[in-house]
Amino acid sequence: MISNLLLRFSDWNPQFFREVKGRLKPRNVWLTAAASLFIQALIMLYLWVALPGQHSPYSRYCTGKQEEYSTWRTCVLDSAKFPQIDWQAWWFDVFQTLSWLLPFVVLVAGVYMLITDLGKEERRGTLNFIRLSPQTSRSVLLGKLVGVPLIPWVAVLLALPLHLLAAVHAGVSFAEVGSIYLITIAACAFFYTASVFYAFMGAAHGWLGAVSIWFSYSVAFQIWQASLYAEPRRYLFLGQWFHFEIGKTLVMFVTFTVVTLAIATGWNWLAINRRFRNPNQVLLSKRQSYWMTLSFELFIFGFVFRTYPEWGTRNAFTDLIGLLVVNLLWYLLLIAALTPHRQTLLDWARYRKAGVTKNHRQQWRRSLVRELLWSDKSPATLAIALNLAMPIALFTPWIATWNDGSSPTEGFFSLVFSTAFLLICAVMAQAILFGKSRRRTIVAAAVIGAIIALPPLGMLMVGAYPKAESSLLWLFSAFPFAGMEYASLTTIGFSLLAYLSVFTLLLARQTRQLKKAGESELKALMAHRSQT
Amino acid sequence: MAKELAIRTHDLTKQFDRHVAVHEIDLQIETGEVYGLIGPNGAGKTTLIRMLAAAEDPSLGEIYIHGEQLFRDQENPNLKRQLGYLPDDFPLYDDLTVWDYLDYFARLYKLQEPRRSRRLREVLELVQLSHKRQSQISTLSRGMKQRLSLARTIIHEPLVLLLDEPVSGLDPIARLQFREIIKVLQEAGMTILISSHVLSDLAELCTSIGIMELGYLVESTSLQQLYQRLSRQQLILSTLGELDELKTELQQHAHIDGMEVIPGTQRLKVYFSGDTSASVTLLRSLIEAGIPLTEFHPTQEDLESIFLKLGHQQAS
Repeated sequence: MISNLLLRFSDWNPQFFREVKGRLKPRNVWLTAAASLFIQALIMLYLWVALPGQHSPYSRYCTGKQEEYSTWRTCVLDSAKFPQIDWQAWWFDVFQTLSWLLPFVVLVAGVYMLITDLGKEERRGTLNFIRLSPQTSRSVLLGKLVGVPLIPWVAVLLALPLHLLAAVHAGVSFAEVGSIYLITIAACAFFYTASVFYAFMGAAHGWLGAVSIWFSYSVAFQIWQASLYAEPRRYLFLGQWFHFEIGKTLVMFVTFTVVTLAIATGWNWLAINRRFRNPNQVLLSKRQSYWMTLSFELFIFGFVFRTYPEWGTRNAFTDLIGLLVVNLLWYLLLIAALTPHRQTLLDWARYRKAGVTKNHRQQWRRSLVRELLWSDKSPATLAIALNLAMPIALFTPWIATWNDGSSPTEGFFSLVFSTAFLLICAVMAQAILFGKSRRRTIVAAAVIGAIIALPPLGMLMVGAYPKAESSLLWLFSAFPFAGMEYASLTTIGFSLLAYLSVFTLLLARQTRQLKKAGESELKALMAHRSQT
Repeated sequence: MAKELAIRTHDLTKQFDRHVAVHEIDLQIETGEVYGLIGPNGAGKTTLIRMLAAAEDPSLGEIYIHGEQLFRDQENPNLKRQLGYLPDDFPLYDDLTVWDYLDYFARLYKLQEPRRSRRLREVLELVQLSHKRQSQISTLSRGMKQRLSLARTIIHEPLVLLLDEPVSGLDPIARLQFREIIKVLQEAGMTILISSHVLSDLAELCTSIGIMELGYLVESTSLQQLYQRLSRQQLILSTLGELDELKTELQQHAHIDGMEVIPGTQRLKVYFSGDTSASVTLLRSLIEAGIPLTEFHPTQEDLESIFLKLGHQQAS
């Protein structure tokens, strides 16, 4: 019966079965089990050593009076002259350590393994064979997502009994323990699909993914630690979203987090399936990008609408800065995922007029604007512009209603300048990715990274802090809001004109290049002959 | 009635930058054929095969496999079941055993038990790797890896097999083994498109030949027609006596267009334009003239000579 079950299971997803066969070899499993048990033993041993001895006057685990400004307590000795131990506190520390460690292991190790594995398969060309099989992309990718990180999952599953035991002894409710598991699984789904997305972008640096996750996880953990002292005090906490108190109950918090991660995972899932089927395609279709941006903007916009604590001061402009910084990262990602490379653009420019494409669904009336907005092979500039228009449409009414002393004019222009800066980035990225360099992806990333980071860093180093004299320079940086307070209307006007000129120049150059690329060989030959 | 076409392309074009790798190719391969694709390096053979295998996007044009159009950005499960593709670099998974590797692909192609195990044993026997079934792939020789890749390509019994330089880098014995396997597959009814620089192999295997140059398909015809059109008949003769005596005797006969000594041997290659009865007459007259003949056999110009005669440069 077991072998029958195994047979049905392996037929269900061949990719997962292949990962099981390749990874769960007895040697690997024994090593993982040994490492997992060793680390559990080490944690227990460390906390055991921290228990108060016969002569300890104070300890975290004693049962006496709590010291002022400290979590330490005085030790009370029992009849046998041993200090009485607060075992619940001790087990809570075991629980807390494992609650930090277990998600960390599956996230960091899983992301690293997925990026490395897919990068290797893509580089060696083995992924092509899987692509050529009649398996659906969903089945193969699901097998990869579940199968590749099996080893860290085995290590974590072996630590679950201790985690549960610690939860029981520490008096942590089942709902909270379950929430940790649920959120870990949701986070894994999101970060695993995101790492496949990253690998499909042509990056095979597993360590970079792992470091990013390490960093994000540490930040999230710090935020949680900081919110421990917020009221109501609970293990997991988050504030308000569109005035909806997502942190009020555990159920609301977990639901919000899981639904958010699920939607984000869904978007990743669509993108990676699309890219798996055809690795020459851009990661996102233009249509998908519009929906993704809309949902993302609504998501981040929600955090603006919250009740402020009595001790806090409300500053809408600071909220807008937060939104713009997050948007800067979002749109850079979007530019990378939407911008087609040289070959796609050449084919588009050269054969668009032929009217015959592989996809018979696309044999219809073609207008250029429609293609620039919807076709995946066309340049991404107009589509990115449309994506950039969304936060303007969404945030402007909110900015117009500011009444806490922040200047709506400054807010609006900050939004406009950020958008203009990103638009220039998009056109530059398109220009570089249309270039002949083999390392155009790296060049594009380096150039865009440099124009974002270097000017503000340079200005700060030479002491050109945001003020009236240097406001113009700050308006041309990735952080125009820094100089907005000091900029006069004339400066703003001239800067906008300058942005417009640069954008027009770059766009004209792009159009000329595309037109040239679209010329037939005969025309190019004739032009060459007439010159000579 | 014409046979059904296994592969048909219409205006198939692939452009890399300003370089047109494949130029408006209208390829037609009938079911059951072994079609040899030859041409110098960079002629566009690999690009053409990659497009047929849905591993590369065409810039323009259409591909039909058994009448059904192939679209790269769709799942095409039915078409994918019909295709088997062996690229020239045949990457494998070193962490799996031979059996597990083939089992994995059999599952990807949705082969169910007990057919799966049976098919695995069949292909392992065909590629002569039954004794290596439990070996790690990393321990196999290049020839074995090549054969394992071929086994992976045919595990799902495809109707159309696309082989890109399948014998490159193999020693003569491995090449012989490979040829034998291809013959078996042809007998099983597969349509095979094979590109190779080893023209003697293709001459032995193929029913049709396509010649590519600079992205164009400059020749696409059956091997028989190619020989009829372009190959001169030759006679190979050797004698125990003097070669000059034989030459003098031959010069008196009609249908002899020329002759040359095969370097390093006591044999003559004679270009002969007569039919079979004319060659019988020639043989009889030579014997009657007292020439001590030890060898007399008609042969044809090989594919390589024809290829060179067409003005193409072939790197062997």
